[in-house]
Formats: sequence, C-alpha cells, structure tokens
Amino acid sequence: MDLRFTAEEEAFRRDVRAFIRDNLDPVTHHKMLDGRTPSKAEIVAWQRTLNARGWATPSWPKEAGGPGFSVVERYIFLDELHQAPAPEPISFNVSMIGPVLAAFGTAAQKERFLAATANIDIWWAQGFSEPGAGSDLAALRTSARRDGDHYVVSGHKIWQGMAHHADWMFTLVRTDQQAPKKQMGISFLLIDLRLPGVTIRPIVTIDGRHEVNEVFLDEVRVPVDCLVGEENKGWDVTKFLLSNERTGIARIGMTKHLVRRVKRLAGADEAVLRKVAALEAELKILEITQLRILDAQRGSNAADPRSSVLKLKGVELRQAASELLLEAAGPAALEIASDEDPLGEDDAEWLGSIMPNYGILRAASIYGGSSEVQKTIVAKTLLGLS
Amino acid sequence: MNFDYSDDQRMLKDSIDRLVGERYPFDKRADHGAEPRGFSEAVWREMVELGLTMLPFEESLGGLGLGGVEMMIVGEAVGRGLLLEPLLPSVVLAGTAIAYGAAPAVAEAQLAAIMSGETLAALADRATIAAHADAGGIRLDGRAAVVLGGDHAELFVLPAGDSAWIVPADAPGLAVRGYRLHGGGGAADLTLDGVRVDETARIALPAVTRALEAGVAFLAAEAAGAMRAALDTTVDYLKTREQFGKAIGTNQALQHRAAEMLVEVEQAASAAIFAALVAGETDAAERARSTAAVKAVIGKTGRFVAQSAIQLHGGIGVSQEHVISHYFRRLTAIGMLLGGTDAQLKRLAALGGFTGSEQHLRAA
Repeated sequence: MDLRFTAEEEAFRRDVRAFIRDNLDPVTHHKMLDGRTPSKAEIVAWQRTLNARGWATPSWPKEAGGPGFSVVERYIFLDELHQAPAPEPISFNVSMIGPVLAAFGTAAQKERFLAATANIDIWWAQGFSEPGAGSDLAALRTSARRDGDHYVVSGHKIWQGMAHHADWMFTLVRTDQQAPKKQMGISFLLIDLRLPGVTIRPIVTIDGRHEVNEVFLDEVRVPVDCLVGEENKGWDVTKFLLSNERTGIARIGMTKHLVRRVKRLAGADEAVLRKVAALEAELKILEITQLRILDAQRGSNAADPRSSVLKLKGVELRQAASELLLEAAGPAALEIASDEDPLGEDDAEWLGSIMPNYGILRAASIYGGSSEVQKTIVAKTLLGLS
Repeated sequence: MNFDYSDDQRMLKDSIDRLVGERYPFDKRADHGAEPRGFSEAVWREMVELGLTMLPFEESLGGLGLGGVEMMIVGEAVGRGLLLEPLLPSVVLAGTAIAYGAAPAVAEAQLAAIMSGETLAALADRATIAAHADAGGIRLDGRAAVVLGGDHAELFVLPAGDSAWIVPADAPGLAVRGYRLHGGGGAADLTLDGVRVDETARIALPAVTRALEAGVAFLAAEAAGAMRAALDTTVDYLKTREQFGKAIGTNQALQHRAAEMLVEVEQAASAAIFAALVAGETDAAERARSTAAVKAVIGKTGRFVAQSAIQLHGGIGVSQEHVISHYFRRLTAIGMLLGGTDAQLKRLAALGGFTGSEQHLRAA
C-alpha cells in the first residue's frame, strides 16, 4: 500500500498547474475565484486553449482525439482545474456526447461532430429531462415519428443547462409507443437547435441566474442520419452516457476552493474555524476514498457502483462548505449583486456569489441522480437489499 | 498509489482472521471477559505466538520491523471480533513510547518483556504529573486518569514535565485504582505521591506523541473493522427479519439508512488506511494534522454507524445478548479514547487544517 503518486504523476500535476497559471485568462480566473459564471466567450476561449494543448477532452479515447490520460492523470487534471479554479471542459460536450459518439456514432457522425465538439465549434445541450420525467427518465414522452428520411419530433424538454448558448442538442425521444417496456421504445437523436419548430425558453433559477432552459419541440424535422445507435435502442446509449464520466465526481477540488474562501472570510472566528476543521477532516478522508476507487478502476471500464458513495459524500461536503461560506460572510452576503458587477481587487473576497451559490448548490444533490436515487443504488448493488 | 496488500500482508490477514474466527465467536466473548484479568489468557498467548506483540518494533529491538499497514490488518480483525486482549495499551501505546523514546538498552529489555506477553504495560495520555530533581533522582507527584490497560499493568509510561518516565506498578508512592470500561478492556486512575525514578527510566516526549499516533491508527483500524461488521450484521438482519409479511430490508427508508451507513463505513476504512500510511511520515506536523483528522472522522462515523445499527435492528439491538449492542459500546468508547472528536477538531483547527487560505495557483 502506498498513498503517493508516482514521480511522473507529480510532474504531470505541476505541468497542469503551471499551464493553468500561464494560460487561463485573468478575468476568467477572477470570476471563477469569485464564484461568478464566466461568459460564453470566456468559456469557449478556455476550452480552445485546452484543446490546443490536447487536454480539452480528458475522458475521450485516444482514437477519438482524447489525450490518452490514465484514470489517475484524468483525476489529477480535473482536480487542478477544480482547485485553480478554472472552468471545467463543458460537460455536455466532453463528458456526455463526445464519448457517446466515439462509442456509438457512425463514421460520418464522428467525422462531422467529434473535432467540432472538442473545440466547441458546436456547443451541445442535453435534452433528457421532461416535466414528467426527472429521476424516472424512461418515462419521457417526447415523440419522434418516422417520415421518409426524417423524424418528426414533438415534445417538451426541461432543465437544459446552457441551452441558450447551444447549437445542437442530444436528446431522447420515444420512437415506439407500443414497446412492452418503457425503456425499450426510446431513441437517441441529435437535433440542430436552429431547425424550425425549436423554441428555447429561459428558466431563472434560485441564484437569479439564467443557466437552464426549457426546450419546446414542435413538429421538428430531424434528418435520420442524426440517430445515434439503433432506433429504439437509445436506452443502452443513455446508460453508457450516465455511467461514463464518474472520475472526480466527488468534486473534492471544488470544495477545497470553497474551504479556502471560508478561511479568508472567517479570519480568527473560532466557531467557524472549528466547523471548517470538521469539514476538512472528512474531505481529506474522502480524498483517500476517491483514490481507493480510482486505484480499483485502473484498467477497467466497468462502472463502479461505489461512485455513488463518492457522489453522496462529495455533494454533502460541497453543500456544507457553501453553507459555511454563508456563515463566515454573515448578513453582508444578503446584498443582491450581479455577476456583471465590476471585478474587485484581486485578493478581496466578493460576497455577491455566496448566497446565490448556496442556493443553486442544492441542485447538486438532485442532478446526475439525486441523493435518494444514489442511496437506492448503493442499497441494491452494494448491500444486496431489494 | 496502490491499495493492495502484499502477499505477506495477506498471509498475516489470513492468520489473524483465523484466530478471531476460531477463538472469538461472539458466544465465547463473555467467557473471555470473565477471566480474572478481563481477557483470555489463552488467546493472548496465541497472539504472542503469532508474533503480533512483536510486529511494530524494529528488528534491532527484537521486533519484526513491520509497519502501519500490518498493524491496521490486525486492528481491523480485533475490531471485528471485539477482542479484549491488551494489544493496544501494552504493545501499541506503551511499547511504541518505549521503543522510540527509551535508551536503547532499556528499550530492548523492557520490550522483550512486553513482547513476551508476560509484562503488561500502559501509557497515560491524561496525566498531570510534576517531575522534580530530588536526591540524585527524580521525584514524581500528581495524577493520571483513565490509563488504558492500567488495571493489570506491571509497568506505566507516565508523562511528567519535559519527559515521560517508566514506572513499575509496585513503585513506592504509586496508588493504582483499576476498573473495567464500557466497551471492553480496563483502565486505572493513578495517584503519585513521591514516586522516585532515575535517568534510565526517562523517555523522550516526542516518543509519547508517536505512541499516541500509533494508538489512534490502531483505534481507527479497530473502528473500521467493527463498523464493517456492524453493517454486515445489520444488512443480514434487514434481509431476514420479517414484519408485515415481508423482509424489513424491502423498506426504502431502511435501505437508505443502510446506504448511509455504507458511505460512513467506507470513510472509516479510508481513515484507517490513511492513518496506517501516514504513520511512516517524517514531518511531525503532517502526522499531527492527519492523526487529528483520522480520529475526528472515526468518532463521527462510529457514532453514526453504531446508532444506525441499533435503530435498524429495533429492540433486539439494545439487548446485552446481541452483538450489535457490543459494537455500539466499543465504537462509542473508541470515539472517546485518546482524544474525543471535539478535542481533535480543535487541534486540527489550531494546526491550520489541510488547506491554507491562499489561492491555489499562488501556492507552491
């Protein structure tokens, strides 16, 4: 047993950190430090900077244009981005649709989409959830009916993160209304959001920001070459997508950044510092849990149900950190501010994001499989309870 | 980075697992505890024969020269089987203090007695003792409370002033009041009134710190083993106990509580591994931070797992005859021994935690 990273892994960590330090636009970095949301142009610019270095798509296989990271390198890379903090590669492009196209796409689809997806020439939105299909995703009702060499798609999607920035949406549609099981009649379809019949409507969230959207599809004619995998086999693609990107799911680096902010704000406030210590103790141990699972994942692509353990504890600690930030800031955090406010001094803490981020972080235990869904997974797969 | 056991470590695990499986089924434990010294003399002898008392000490001191991972393997088995034998107080605590802090000749002689199992030793971690030079020797006056394993110790390691001192239990001026502890084992309160020692009894104080760190690591392993066993027992119960015509484990509320237990059990296992691997760390501040974090997490997870195990068992969980009530008491005790959770968090905060307040990209 050995906790240490290899000399090569340590060198890689230093390289990543130096690259971020030297190449991340200072304004983008300042916004990230403040907990503000960078603009579309800033996010795209950073993604392209990473792409030029070959690091934009850490989880992609090499033949699809990925950097060929080991699971440990991938973890180190994401951890450095989270701690910096720098924008993560756009998850819709990099963690979700990219690996799906690499695994299930036709040669033509790979040719058409992969490089553009890595360079964010195409910004993807995720079109999974519907008003009646949240945790029970397979209950989705958006329908696609075949008409010649098109699918005619109608339905109502919800919670599309950043869809107002997006060019395309990968989506789940029902292509067989008569299938014996609801998982069986679903297909995975790519939709150009500029097509007639697509309407995107903003949803303003608890943080006062516009990040998520509703997408209405009204008789949208989608060419059949935009089907990924086989018709009615979209659920297999979805399962692959949902289990694919688990590395760094605990988001320990993000929580460390929040801990740094809490400490700056708390000063010598012993009550807060004691709570921070409790959080840091658990976070340190979660890091070991993360490394144990990474070690077990080496050389295996199988989904590890212990990822649910990481998500549960990781989210709990991140939410706790956001709560401590609120406590450390006190009522001054209640002043309503805007992400567009002028940036302050480089080393001054900006309180404007604390309350909004505390609110929106509640969603972290809901999206990507709610904590209750994760507990059910743990109980069934790891404890054999059913 | 690697979390696998070596072949030797796997063999060690097999032999300690076998010992616990054969000698410590739960229905034998009460008999072991009823023996005069509160543990099984026969099992203690077997542990000595297996080399467990020699395990952590340098070969130059007559030990096996093994490390934190081996002690973790032993600790987990001890926790799972709720063993009562005095490995922690005599070997891990007092033994480590002597090994690191006594003059080599003294250490060799004392450890030989401890490793043989003939001499039981104990280390005081809650002592207020004054040391004064007196007539060519040192005079010790004061008290020590809840000295683990002190109820049957022949030898004490007692911190006083800028050192710690090896004091025989029958030293004139030393009064020992021994008693049994909730959660297993025993302890003693000591009163020292003009106890005299000489320079050969001196132990350097950093050795006591090392011993307490080794003790926390052992407790962490013990807790991790006990928690895993408590969870396994609970899950078995959820699958077999029927109410309202079905296994109670089909209820989602109970499934989720069990899942929450597993999250904490995995954290406890990680804490034990962290403690085992950090034991060899040369930076004392890093060891101090890590030890505080490990003990705090063990205390918190242990409490949650123990309480949940009883809750999921229902009434039978609070009965003396059910093993869960014993895991509960042992885990509660572990949380309180060698510095409770609040004390550890206070310490971790004073040490600055793991993350500074400086921006990550500016840090080295």
